[in-house]
Amino acid sequence: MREYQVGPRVATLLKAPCATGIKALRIQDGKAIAKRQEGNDWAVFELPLPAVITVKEGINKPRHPSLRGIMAAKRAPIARIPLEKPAPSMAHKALKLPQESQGQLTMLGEGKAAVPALVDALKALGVL
Amino acid sequence: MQLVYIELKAGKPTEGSLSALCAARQLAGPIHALTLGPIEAASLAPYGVEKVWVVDDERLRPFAPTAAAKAVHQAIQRLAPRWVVAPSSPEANEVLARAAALGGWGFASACTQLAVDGDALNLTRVTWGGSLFQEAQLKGTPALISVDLAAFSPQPSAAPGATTLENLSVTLSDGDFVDQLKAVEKGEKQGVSLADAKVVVGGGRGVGSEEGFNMLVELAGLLNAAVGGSRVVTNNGWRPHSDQIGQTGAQIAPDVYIACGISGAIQHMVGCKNSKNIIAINKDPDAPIFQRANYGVVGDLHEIIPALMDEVKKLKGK
Repeated sequence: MREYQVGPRVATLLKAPCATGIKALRIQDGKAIAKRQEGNDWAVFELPLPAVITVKEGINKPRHPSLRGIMAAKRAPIARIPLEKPAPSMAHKALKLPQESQGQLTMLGEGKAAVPALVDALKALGVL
Repeated sequence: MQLVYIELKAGKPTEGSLSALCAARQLAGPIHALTLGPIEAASLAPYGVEKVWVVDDERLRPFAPTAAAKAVHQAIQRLAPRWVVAPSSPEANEVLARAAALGGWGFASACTQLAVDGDALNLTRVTWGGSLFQEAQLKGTPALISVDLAAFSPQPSAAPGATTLENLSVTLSDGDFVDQLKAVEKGEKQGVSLADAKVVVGGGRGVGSEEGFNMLVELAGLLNAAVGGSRVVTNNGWRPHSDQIGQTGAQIAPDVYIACGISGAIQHMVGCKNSKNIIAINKDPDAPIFQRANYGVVGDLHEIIPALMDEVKKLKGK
């Protein structure tokens, strides 16, 4: 529930550089070259390491774990670090679904026969 | 007093910043604005701004998140506002989250509704990429919030302020510019971006292949539209990832969205929910997209789109 905050807050507490919403990343000469999409363009950041980088889906294709990997993970020791939780400033109350904005659906027909009605709709909407 | 963080684009406040000013009017107290660059008072006066605090340090351009956060943190400490309000843009959220971390303050992003309740703020905010709303209560002073651009449309105030400007100096070291924007590279795509397009032609699983998109690209050319796709399309490599519309891709807000062969999964719909009109073409009459669409055609897009293009070409040929 803390969208946009975890990466930048962790970076600030660690006094580390940070780049968010990254969709392309490579390490070159000990620096992270991170790119964020902005419209049709790419904003390019060049960060010394260590750095905090938050990424978006599409930056890579996730590997599926192998069966061997899954079995090995079962035996891996898990270290637990006790933490003192600060009092939260935001108290969660409820989650709700967005109201379905039921469109006033006009069916224009089926298949190719609907094309004239589709053209009329595009004209009415100012596209044509 | 409330402090509204104004983002600038070519010296002018962004649309989202004006939304933030309108949201601030729902909270109590005089409205002050904060900019990290020069601005004309006249651009904010219609929105009831009493005073604009200007941090005019050239090093803050282009975007430098660590330095911007330190500047905002120092401004908040100096001015001691009750509320800090910002547009919920990626950059403003990053700056506020970092300023909040520096000050140990609370921050709620992407708010859609605000109501002061004693010494707390009851709020509703967008979460899970737009597929859910969270109701929460934010406590503490100052409390930082960013507001969802779609929820507050920029309306001039009934009581415009006699806006004055005042410079605010902050202390920044060279090390604060470590993560400054280095460059802006032009993308492969030219023309109007998905986010700004007035007409968008989108394709989904029903398009079937990379080649299948050729006709959608052609249709988009005829309609002066941008082309986008659902997640399955970009995951299959039929279109580049930058074309993805949805929760983890582009959020579009065109006048007309023509959705071809898209079933209408929630993850896709949150990316196109701000479309003014949706025309859905799908061969499954029970596809969820029809529940959100304004116009629907049931049928195979591989027959309908070429026939539509023939008609459009005839019209254009006149």
